[in-house]
Amino acid sequence: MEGEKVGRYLLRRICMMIPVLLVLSLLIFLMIETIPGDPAEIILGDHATPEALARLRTEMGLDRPWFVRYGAFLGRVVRGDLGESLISGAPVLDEIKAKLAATMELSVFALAVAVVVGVFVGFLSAWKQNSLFDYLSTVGALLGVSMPIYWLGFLMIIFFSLHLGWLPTSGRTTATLSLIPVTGFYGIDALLAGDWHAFRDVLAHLVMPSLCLATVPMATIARMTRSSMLEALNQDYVRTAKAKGVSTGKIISVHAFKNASIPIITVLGLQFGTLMGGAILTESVFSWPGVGTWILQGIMARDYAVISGGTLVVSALFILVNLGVDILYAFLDPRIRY
Amino acid sequence: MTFSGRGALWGDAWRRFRRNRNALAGLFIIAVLVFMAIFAPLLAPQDPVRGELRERDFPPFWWSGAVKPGSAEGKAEKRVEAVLGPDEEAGQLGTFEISFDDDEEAEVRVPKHYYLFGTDDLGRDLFSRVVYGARLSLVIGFISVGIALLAGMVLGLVSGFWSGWIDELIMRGMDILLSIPYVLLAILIVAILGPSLVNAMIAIGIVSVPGFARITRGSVLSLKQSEYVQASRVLGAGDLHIITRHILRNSLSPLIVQTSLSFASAILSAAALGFLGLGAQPPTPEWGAMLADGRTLLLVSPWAVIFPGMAITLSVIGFNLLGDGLRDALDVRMKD
Amino acid sequence: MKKLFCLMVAVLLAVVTVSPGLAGEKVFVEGRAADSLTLDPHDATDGPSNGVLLQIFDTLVKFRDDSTEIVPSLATEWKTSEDGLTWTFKLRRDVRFHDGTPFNADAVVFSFERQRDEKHPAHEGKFAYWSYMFSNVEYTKKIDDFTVEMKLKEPYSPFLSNLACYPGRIVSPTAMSEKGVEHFRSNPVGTGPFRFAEWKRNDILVLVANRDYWGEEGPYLDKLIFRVIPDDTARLMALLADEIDGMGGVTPETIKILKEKKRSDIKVVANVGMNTGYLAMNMSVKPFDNPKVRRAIAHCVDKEQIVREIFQSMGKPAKNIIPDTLWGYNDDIVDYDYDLEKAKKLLDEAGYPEGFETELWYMPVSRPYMPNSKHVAQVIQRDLGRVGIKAKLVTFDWGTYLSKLHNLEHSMCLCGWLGDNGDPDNFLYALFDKDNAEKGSAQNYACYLSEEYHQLMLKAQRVADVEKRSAFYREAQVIFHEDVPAVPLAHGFNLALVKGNVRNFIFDPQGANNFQKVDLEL
Repeated sequence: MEGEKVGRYLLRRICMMIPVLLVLSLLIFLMIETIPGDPAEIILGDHATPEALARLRTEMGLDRPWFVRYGAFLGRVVRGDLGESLISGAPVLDEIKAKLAATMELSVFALAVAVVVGVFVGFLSAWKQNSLFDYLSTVGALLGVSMPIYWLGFLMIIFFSLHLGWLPTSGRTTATLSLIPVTGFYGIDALLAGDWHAFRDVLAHLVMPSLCLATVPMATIARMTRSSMLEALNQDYVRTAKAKGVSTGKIISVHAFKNASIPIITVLGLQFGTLMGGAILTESVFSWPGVGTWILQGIMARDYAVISGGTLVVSALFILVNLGVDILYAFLDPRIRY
Repeated sequence: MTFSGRGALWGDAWRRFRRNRNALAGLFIIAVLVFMAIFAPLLAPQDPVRGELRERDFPPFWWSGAVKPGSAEGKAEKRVEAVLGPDEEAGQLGTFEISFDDDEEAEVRVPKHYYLFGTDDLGRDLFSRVVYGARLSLVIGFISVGIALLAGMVLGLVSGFWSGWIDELIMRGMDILLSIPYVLLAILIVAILGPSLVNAMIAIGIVSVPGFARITRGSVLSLKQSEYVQASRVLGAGDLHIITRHILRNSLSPLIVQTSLSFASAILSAAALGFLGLGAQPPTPEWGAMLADGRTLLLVSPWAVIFPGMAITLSVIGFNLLGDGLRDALDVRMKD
Repeated sequence: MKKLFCLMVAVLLAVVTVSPGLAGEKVFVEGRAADSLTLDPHDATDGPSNGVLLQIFDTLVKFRDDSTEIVPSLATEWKTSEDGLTWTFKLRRDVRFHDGTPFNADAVVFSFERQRDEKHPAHEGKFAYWSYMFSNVEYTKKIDDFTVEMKLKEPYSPFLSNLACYPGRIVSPTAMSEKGVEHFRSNPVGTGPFRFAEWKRNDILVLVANRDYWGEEGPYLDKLIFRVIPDDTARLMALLADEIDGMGGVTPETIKILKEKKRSDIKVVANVGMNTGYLAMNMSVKPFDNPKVRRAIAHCVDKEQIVREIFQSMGKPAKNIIPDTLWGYNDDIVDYDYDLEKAKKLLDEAGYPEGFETELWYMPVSRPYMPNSKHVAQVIQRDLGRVGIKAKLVTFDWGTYLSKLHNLEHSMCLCGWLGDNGDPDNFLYALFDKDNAEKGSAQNYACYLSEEYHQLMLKAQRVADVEKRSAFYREAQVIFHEDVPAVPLAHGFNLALVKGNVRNFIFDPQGANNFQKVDLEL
């Protein structure tokens, strides 16, 4: 019975995604449609002749009405074809795969850092409530959510790259490094190739951008962990367990932590959006060749194909992640109503 | 929460708020911000917009190695010298090397005034710009949060109160808005409207609508079931009466908290848009745009990045502290 | 907990030390602001594509190093018929493309005909530069294996210089026909000093030395890597941290930082660019139809200070619209001096004693002729304000900006021009003749319609003699100066930064760097 219910719930959620995605695609398309500017001008550059412009506009179909192009756009998207970048001519899907891998590598690393550090700090400050550590970490978390992350990025570059010379300033790898991309995740590619030197190089390039990107989620997770741990520690059953003489470690790991994990997972799902937004800023500071800077450049250059493809994929991914979180949530919290 | 006890509730809240040192600190920061904004013309020693190029790139007067006004010795500007290569006879188009030489002819610059935060690369006093920037940040906060509050409240009320297909429509709309990452959506909206401060505010406003809508809807839904609303309905009160008399008043607390927190994120987002060149246009002294300008000179004039960044951070901290304090004081439990 | 901390520190330390590349190999890493868009040499219009293609391909004739002098390259000699319509080129023997295909007349005919002939199987692309520079070409044909003939519709003096430009590059016909144009765009095959190796878009592009290069010299480098670092500061930091060996896109801010940092191991290499940045005033909009208003504005612009402070002296103040490196430059022109009193008086006379409100548009991008348009705009805005002209600063993304300028929607705008072939016509006619002032496609952003000027332009186009043409252009500059449809601001330097151990790093007249002779001292 239960399983069937969960199944039906999942099916309903997945079916609901289709109209959402459809409306989303229309919204994105219409938004792009209203962005002023003429991509033909950009492609031909400063030396465009009017005839060449007119010819190119026809060639690119820019002279057709919007709904015709939306229809064509939708038809292609359904077939998995996101068109070609107006500027580089490369298929958007191919580009997005490479960019997404870069952003994913950064985000996953950042999220891992955020979760590990955030949970650890939040947990410790709850355990040692009102200690100096608790106080400092609270201040740190407040700073973390209040600082412009690009500003933090600058400060890190000044300090770690320029003063100490420890870490590279930008990019995913040292330019002289040759790596055969298999997965697109350079760290994994380096490990697959067994190239220890390359792995270190990739890791060194990841440190600052991922720390920068991790700031907000880390602070949020730390705060969330602290408050849910505090709440859990004050629950009756935890007190009872304590009174019964159950060991501290067991209380934390079994009772308190399990209950505290639900809100943490929720926060995690929500942080994905923050990460995507933050990626635009972080990637711009560290010249990370990811999806954020790519879409931003697309917007600046009025590359319709890049904006629509990029935004659509990122948003669809975001919706999927949220769905995943909801499902996970449903499994973790038996109280949830389907 | 009972109807009759509201006066006591607010009194309680204030007492709790007063005891919360963090919240008071937040209030203090905001008070300073408001003070700066109101009295900007009096506080700012220089014109925030027009500068003298002669005065460019001076560090704060207290910076180590800074030249004091009226000092006999100044900041020596290196002269630029072109060193022609071996191909000198090749014509004026030839490639040459440039060297920067210290010599007696070097122009010596002495600042005219004491600059608390230094000057930027157009010779404008950064302190004056930061002070005027407080104005902009508050205006950005008010307008964008205002848009979001108004639109969000109306949408939330409508969708929570009448339920049915309207509710479904509005909430799915909000879901779709939320499914595009916040910053990306704001950037897209600004791209459509064109880069300007006003459009940045509109974009941030639109992007923050779903938060307010969800909160309003949530409290409307829970209040609708509450005894006193049911009671007044039995007594024959109309929809409008119920909304204005009971529901709006009682959903005020979460909205107040959300407003304060949204102020913080609006300031951050406006700065981010300004940083990406999509917000305030020059010579407007907006903090994010100042960071973007200062970024190119990170290595020589770090003060041009440090102070605007600090201003953003501090004011965001102020609104975050206030929001958290209010949440504790008003005893609001927020789901998001 | 302590163990965990120790582990974290250990990981950090392991990560921190990054070792350099392979020893002994001469690898040059060039940091650049943007990626190449295409590697089809005939379709590329942007600097980053050109910067790479220049290393992979050769042209029939080329500029000698960093001068505008035309010297043989893949063509060893050439002659032109008496009517100036037929050009015959003798081709170099024993040259092979990187894929082994021999270079001969077929390759030349293929390269040119694919751009001209719309029915050519390899005619896939926009060929913007061909239609811009070579629409005058009737055909290219093979005479024998090492002789080609090109026929023009009309005599055209800059033809030979144009052959040294983008569309003149010779591609391997086998590579392009066998694998298709699409494939060629990301796997180019030419005869140049470097071969294409690898391209990760928006990241790195790798070229390796062509060991069979036909040229008398070079290449000395083993590998040439272009790496995209869009942010100017990040790029400079990468150079300071030894991650790259050279970089383009050097801004005045970069120069400021270098002055401050005194890094003797970094060289600033420059040449005087063939470019002009200017402030155009749209004469079809009031009050800019009034010459006194335009002169008043010319008196408000402090070029000396703008060049010294905003260009960081990396340019020359301009008094004419053509740079002084071009023939026909009129040095007798006395520029409008920076004098706000004179400006006020002129405004009084023009009937605007209180000034007026207007807009000043500035470019969203950085160009050698206008490295920081935003700053220039703010300085001009300030001085205009002092004589009562309230100018609102406005900008758009680059595409919108250009298209609005072409539509003449602006009042005042900052803009500029990068010369193509070193001919004054390329500036004076292209930018200010009334032929080019049509709404929708205007290149004449001042909407300057002077008939007198127009006649001079036509006269200069019809004669071949440089002396005579020069006289017409000198006269045209006098008329321009009187009418001030635009205020010339500056001719900016092309700039690059390289490490101290880099040798023979040069700029060609168009501001690109040829790496054929570049060497690294290890």
